[in-house]
This record gives sequence, C-alpha cells and structure tokens, in this order.
Amino acid sequence: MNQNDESLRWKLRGLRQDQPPKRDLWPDISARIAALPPRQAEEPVQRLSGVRRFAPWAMAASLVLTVGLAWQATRVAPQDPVIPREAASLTRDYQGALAQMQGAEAHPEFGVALQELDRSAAQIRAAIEHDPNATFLLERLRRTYAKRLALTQRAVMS
Amino acid sequence: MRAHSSSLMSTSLLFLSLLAALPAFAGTPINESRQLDARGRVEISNVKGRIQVRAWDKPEVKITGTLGDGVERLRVEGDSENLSVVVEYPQNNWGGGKAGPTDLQLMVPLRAELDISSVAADVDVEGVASGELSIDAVSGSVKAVGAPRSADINSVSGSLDLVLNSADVEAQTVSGDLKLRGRLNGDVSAETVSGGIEIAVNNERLRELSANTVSGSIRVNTGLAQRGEIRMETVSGDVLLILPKNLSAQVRGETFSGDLRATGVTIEKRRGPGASFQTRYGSGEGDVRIETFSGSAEVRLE
Repeated sequence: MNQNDESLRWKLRGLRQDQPPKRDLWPDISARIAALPPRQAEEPVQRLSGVRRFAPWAMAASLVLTVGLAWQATRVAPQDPVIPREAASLTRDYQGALAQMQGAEAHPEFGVALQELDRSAAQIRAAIEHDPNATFLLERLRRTYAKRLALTQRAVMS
Repeated sequence: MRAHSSSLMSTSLLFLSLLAALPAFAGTPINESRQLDARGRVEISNVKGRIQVRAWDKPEVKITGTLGDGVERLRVEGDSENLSVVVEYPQNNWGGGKAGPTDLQLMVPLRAELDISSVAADVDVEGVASGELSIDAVSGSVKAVGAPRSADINSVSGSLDLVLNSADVEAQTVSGDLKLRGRLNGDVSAETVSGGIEIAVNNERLRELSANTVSGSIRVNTGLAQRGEIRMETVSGDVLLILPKNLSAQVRGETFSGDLRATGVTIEKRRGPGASFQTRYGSGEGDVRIETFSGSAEVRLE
C-alpha cells in the first residue's frame, strides 16, 4: 500500500456527500446494506410531494453505492489500481440493485432516459479503463448510477 | 330556397368558428379561487397537459383551465399558508393512463413559494419572485422566468429554459438541454447526462459554479466573485468557459485525450497521454478547475 493509494482513499471517502433518508424507504436496499458499516448520522428530509416523493429513493440508492464504495476502498490490494476496481465494485452494486426491479425500461416516460443512462455509464467505465487515475470519472459514474436507480424506481412504481 | 341555403351556411360557419374557438384541452372547465398569504406556499401537481403559473399582487390563488377527460378530480385543499392543487387520476393512476391532458392555469401571489410536479406536463412559470421555486418534471419541458431567491429545477428528458434573477440555482436533467440565463450571483449547480448546458450570467458575478455532464457540451459565460470557485467536468462533452478580462483566478485544466486552450497560455502535452495547464489571471484570488476525458476545453477571456 503506497502513499498515493492512501491519499486517494481519503479522496474517495470525500465523495460521500449524500445524506441518508430519515426513514427506511427501500427495504430491499436496506437488506443489501445490512452487511455494510453503519451509515452517517441521519438528517431530516424535507417534506416531499407529488412525483418528487421518489427523490429519497435516489438518496437511498446513492447511499448504498457510496457506502459500498468507501467500504471497498478500505479493502484494496496495494498493487491494484484503485479507481477501476472501485468502478467495477460500483457496477456490481448497481446491477445487483437493478436486478430487483424489472420492466422499467418499457415505461414510455422513462425508457429512453434509462437507455441513455446505461450508455453513459458504459462510456464512463470505458474512460476509466483508459485513464485509471481520474477520480472525477468515478464520481461521474456514481452520479450516473444514482440517477439510473432513482429513475428505475420511479418507473417501476408508476 | 336561397334563404334556407344562406341560413344553413351561416349555421355551418358559426359551428366551425365555435370549433376553432375551443381550447386545445377539451374537458371540464376549472374555476376555483382560494385565499393565500403573500408568502404562502403552493404545491401544484399535474401529470400531463400543461401547468402555467403567473403572478399577481393579490393574496389569492386563482385556478382556471380545463380538466382532462377521464381525470378523477382536481383536489384543492389546504389553508392560507399552504395550498395544494393536485390533478388526481383514478385508482392511483400515477402515469395518467388514458386520461386526457389537463390544462392548469394559476395566478399566485407574487412572493408565494412554488413546488411544482409534473410528469409529461409542460411547465411554464413567469413573473414569480418567491423565496423558493421548485419544479420537477419527467418528459415535460420547463420554462421559468422570474426572480426567486433560490430555484431547484429538474427534468429527465424535458428541456429547461430558465431566465432567473436569483442567488442560488440548482438545475438537472438527463437528456434534456439546460439553458440558464439571468442575473445570478450566488451558487449555481448545473448537471446533465447527455443534455447540453448553456449558462449566461448577466452583469453579475457568481460565487460558485458547478457544471457537470457526461456527453453534453457546456458553455458558460460569467463573471466570478472574489475568491469564487468554478468546477466543470465532462467525459466526452466539450467545454467553453468565457470569463471577463479582469478575472482574478488560478485556472487549471486537465484532459486525457481532448484539446485544451486558454487565453494567453501555451498548452504543453505530457509525455504520456493527456494534457494539462495551470495559470494565473490577475492576482489569482478565485479558483477555476476543468477536467475532461475526451472532451475539449477552452477558457476564453473577453
């Protein structure tokens, strides 16, 4: 484990910017994070209404991914590039969460956007393979996955 | 006989003119009014059709328009501090199903806070000067012109066309284009996935700007406040950042395979892949950072 890896891990921890929801909003995801370290202190969620009431799902999904990210960052082998491995880990988390929600792609309002998000995620993963030191790409990937999960959840519930 | 023909023609013309006068949204007319404090809050929800909001100098909300065929009802409830205006569909039909589009037109107090939700309904807000303006759409486009203190505006595939005189603005889309103009002087955050981002700040200087996208392009023209910060990131999208000649900031740019340009700077290629630069304009008080993977980036002082 070298100093660069250590410095990068602290930066990765800095990516944990999302706030967890006030209450348990997504039982399936909660089950998935049960095995992970405790989340950050909870903060109040603003009153939500209409379709925006689904925004907490995005936060919950984002939480799972970022917690998983930080967790993975503490368990890396020194000789491996950190960012590509974190990207792979993020992708596994994302695919696991999505596997529980079927049919969203067929939704007339969301289908095209979901495909766009998938294309974008693939594009970012390819970019990370070429530039494995670009921390900002990992954050782009995390944001893209968080949007994908949030929209999938909205589509499934509509 | 001629008189009968003439009468028939007149009737036909009258019928045709009546047809032409019908609104695009045929359905049940809406006509409701409620008292609302000058700084009260209005929540508006309509799945498809249109949401149009205009402001007036009265402590009252007036709701007109037409309810789409098949819509269950228009629910208007709350008190003089919080009012909720929701188009309801049968059996929790969130997507609106086969119900017709509803045209919702509201007059609201000038300073009322607005919280607007739409799926496929286009949102058109003009003239409000609320503390907060919040709009969330899926495929509907959003057009907002006003002076809220802060605005939080999101769409998925719909475009955002925003003209705001505001301190803080947060705007996001997935594939919709995002255009933001106006007198902006606080924190602005703009994010898309594939939609383009265009920001033009008029006669003001931003304190913080964050503009991020995966494949959309970014074009920003703004002044930067003392010790202000700008962060811009794209994967494949191009970036153009236009700043005034009297800029005082440290500016850094980095790319893996795109081209970099900056006024007065000679960009040197690295030995390996990628290029980067770091320069100081003026006394270097502010901080500007741009990162791309394959997109090109240019910082232009003019």
